[in-house]
Amino acid sequence: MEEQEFLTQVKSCHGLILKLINLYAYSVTDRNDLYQEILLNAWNGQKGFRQEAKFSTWLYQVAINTIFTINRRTRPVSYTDSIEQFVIPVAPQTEQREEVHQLYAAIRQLADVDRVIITMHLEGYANPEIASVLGITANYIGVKLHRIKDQLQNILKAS
Amino acid sequence: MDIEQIWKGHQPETAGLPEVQGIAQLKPEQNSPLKRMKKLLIQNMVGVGICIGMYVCILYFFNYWQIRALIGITLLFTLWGLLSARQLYRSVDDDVLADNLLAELKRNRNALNSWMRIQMRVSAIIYPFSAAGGYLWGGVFASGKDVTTFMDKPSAWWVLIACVIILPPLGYMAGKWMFNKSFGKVIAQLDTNIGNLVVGGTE
Repeated sequence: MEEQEFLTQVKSCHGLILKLINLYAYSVTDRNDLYQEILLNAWNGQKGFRQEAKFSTWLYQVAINTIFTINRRTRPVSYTDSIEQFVIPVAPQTEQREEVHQLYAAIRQLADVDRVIITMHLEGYANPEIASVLGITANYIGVKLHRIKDQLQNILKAS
Repeated sequence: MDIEQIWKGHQPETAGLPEVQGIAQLKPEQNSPLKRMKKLLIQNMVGVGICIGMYVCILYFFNYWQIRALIGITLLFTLWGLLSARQLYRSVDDDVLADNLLAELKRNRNALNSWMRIQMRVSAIIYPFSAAGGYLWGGVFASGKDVTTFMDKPSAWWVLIACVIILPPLGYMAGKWMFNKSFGKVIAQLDTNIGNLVVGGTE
């Protein structure tokens, strides 16, 4: 794949990747660093991209692998204030913005691996796909998702 | 609140993201433990390469069978160490493109652990030879005598025995300390990353 074609493909998947990054980065600098690291890993490893797979799915996998491999900065004590700068709803109505803000804040309170499970689920990945990415059994993903959703609802209710 | 609807109904803010015109402008932080592991392995191979060069010089310039035998054994071990480090280096995929990340991280952690363990065990066997070879070479080099003349005095034999008894455990401990100081941090980071993936008993 040529460089410009690669960058165009990446640009078309921006939203997908940024939603994921925003759950693990705690500042704009962290977000940009992580974004660059993912792009570089994807570029260096594009020989591993099989044409029959969707580019977005492959890039998503690279993003997850990068997030879980690099030495991320540790979670700050208070971080929810920084979410606002990452997230805007499609129609930026105040109520919707607030809901998105709350959802991000709630997901960020989950354990690292739970965040990726719920994010992949929300993006429409099937349980076996999530399982194969993380190396966990599909049955366990089903059970885990149920618990994560309960936990998320509890956090949202409390907030 | 319908979380699926909210999630799908928003687009993240892309303003402030670096405008990437070309791959060359990307500046990675290089803070991945796998990248660090590869970097350390290169440093290790460079160090080992220098040692091999020194041993070859000794073998070439010091024509004494005792020195050649002892340093030769050490050289063989060093060559094996270099090859095993190269093999480990080539097995590390620092772009982390594996389909199963958890398995990949564990594979790297286990490979590094096993490489360190084997190196330490084999070195424990080799150290007495290298200590004796180093002593003989040092004696010949400093005194300007041949091995037989240099070892003529009983005191030279006592020092040789002391070297073979004292230096190997010291070398072993120094090697262990150096491994832990360098590769130990990589293993600790890989353990943390693995822990992040298996938190809550997801294995």
